Amino acid sequence: LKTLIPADRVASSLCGTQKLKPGAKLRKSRFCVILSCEDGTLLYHTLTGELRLLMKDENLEQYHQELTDAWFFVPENWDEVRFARQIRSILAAVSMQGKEKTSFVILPTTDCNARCYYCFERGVTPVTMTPETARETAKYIAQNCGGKPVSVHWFGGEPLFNKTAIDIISAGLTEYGVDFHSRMTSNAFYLDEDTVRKAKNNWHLEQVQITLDGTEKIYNRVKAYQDVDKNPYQRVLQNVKFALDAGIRVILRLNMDASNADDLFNLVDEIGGRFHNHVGLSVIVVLLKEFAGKIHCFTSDQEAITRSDYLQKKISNYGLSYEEPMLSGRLAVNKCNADNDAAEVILPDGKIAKCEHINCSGTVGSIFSSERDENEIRSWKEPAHFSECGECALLPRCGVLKRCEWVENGCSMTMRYKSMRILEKQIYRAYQAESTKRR
Amino acid sequence: LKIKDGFVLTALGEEYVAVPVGERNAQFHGIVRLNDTGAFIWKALAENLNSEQITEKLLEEYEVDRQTAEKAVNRLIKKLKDNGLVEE
Repeated sequence: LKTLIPADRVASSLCGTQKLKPGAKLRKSRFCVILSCEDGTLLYHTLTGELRLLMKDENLEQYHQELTDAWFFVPENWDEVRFARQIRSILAAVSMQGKEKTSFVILPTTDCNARCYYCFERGVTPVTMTPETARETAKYIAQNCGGKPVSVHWFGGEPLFNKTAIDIISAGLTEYGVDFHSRMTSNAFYLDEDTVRKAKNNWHLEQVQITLDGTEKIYNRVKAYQDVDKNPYQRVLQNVKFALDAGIRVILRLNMDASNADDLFNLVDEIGGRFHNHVGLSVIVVLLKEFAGKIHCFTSDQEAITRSDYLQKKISNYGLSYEEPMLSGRLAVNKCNADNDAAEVILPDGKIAKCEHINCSGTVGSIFSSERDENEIRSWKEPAHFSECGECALLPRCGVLKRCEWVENGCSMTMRYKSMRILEKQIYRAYQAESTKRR
Repeated sequence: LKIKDGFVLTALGEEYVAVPVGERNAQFHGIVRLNDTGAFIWKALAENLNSEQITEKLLEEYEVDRQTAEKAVNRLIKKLKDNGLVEE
């Protein structure tokens, strides 16, 4: 029985070695994920973060005590869900650091040049950041980052619809001596060659996520750009190339629903043909049903999963899969900006929010004042509890929040499936890395 | 005697843990694991009670003789002192 990844130091000292009452009947922990591999069986504990490999010629009985000590087996009546939630809340308290803010989502505008039918920001009044607010934003970040490196995520609306604000903020941060890097979520319509150069040099842009909804005809129809351009689709793909050539990583996000699923297969062929094995490019599939609920849904979750898996496989064949981060023994205690005290979302009018999806109501303050609505901040951190959590192996790693619009209709089967596939990939990657080392 | 600021005492499974938060986290990297009685004494120390007062409280709460209670209180206080978790 080999330990491939040791348990998280803090989580394991909180859990301690399991103490059992005499005669306790044991069962497999709900948080134990079992996968078979070439060398035997992999056992991963989602709460402690420990990954073990039981070799082919070994059996569980031999190591029952050791695995029980490490929480892979627990008493039949043990309330694991409560225990996992307690551990998460303690870890969150322990991980609270100083007051520095080091991660910012900035919305230079809530306006957009595209008119996608599924947009979650439809109906939001467009607000554009003024040059004065942009200058104040840079000053605010410099004053609150405590000299630490800062990560900026340009979001919108379409952030490139207000390049001036991005220019001013970036120049301001540079002037104040803030060490920063940035990423962006954009439709890339305005990411032309000059902008790419500026983004790389002045905005310190490292990554951009661009949504494609289909091949040329479908893309142009869905995006319905207000700008006059013969062919936005070709223009965006050309811009993708500019970004890649400049060394900016590009994630192409394919939004999938029942109406464009077939076409996305053609799109992947087209992307694959153009960018086959291109370092710096990855493609992800997102099922629109996951957060919209107002689009062309698949007839069943199973159908959605099958179609998405098949498309993902095709992407992988072109060497364009998104590589999930390496599995770390460390339990992530923050789900997103909303429950991370070091993160803030700056809206175009200078107000501060905890979630960049601005139709989630509730701001917590402003860059022009030090006053914060602590109740509002706390409410963003409240975890969501669903009936499915009780049986879910992913619970300790999940941390989904009550106010998150992604789960306003509960935890969907497609979400759980996708998260589990990601975890399995990470476990196999860790195993393969370890096998390579051993060989 | 008083427990130093910056610790949160919370239930965990069938026991309790006291964990450092905020700035205290940078100074103390451990976790204090306590049983029921330990947590009771910890809470009393957080209220600034001295060892005699804690012993009296313990005698009111638990069916235990004075000698055992005193021993338990003094033993935990010593451990906490040794680890720099309490201040005079």
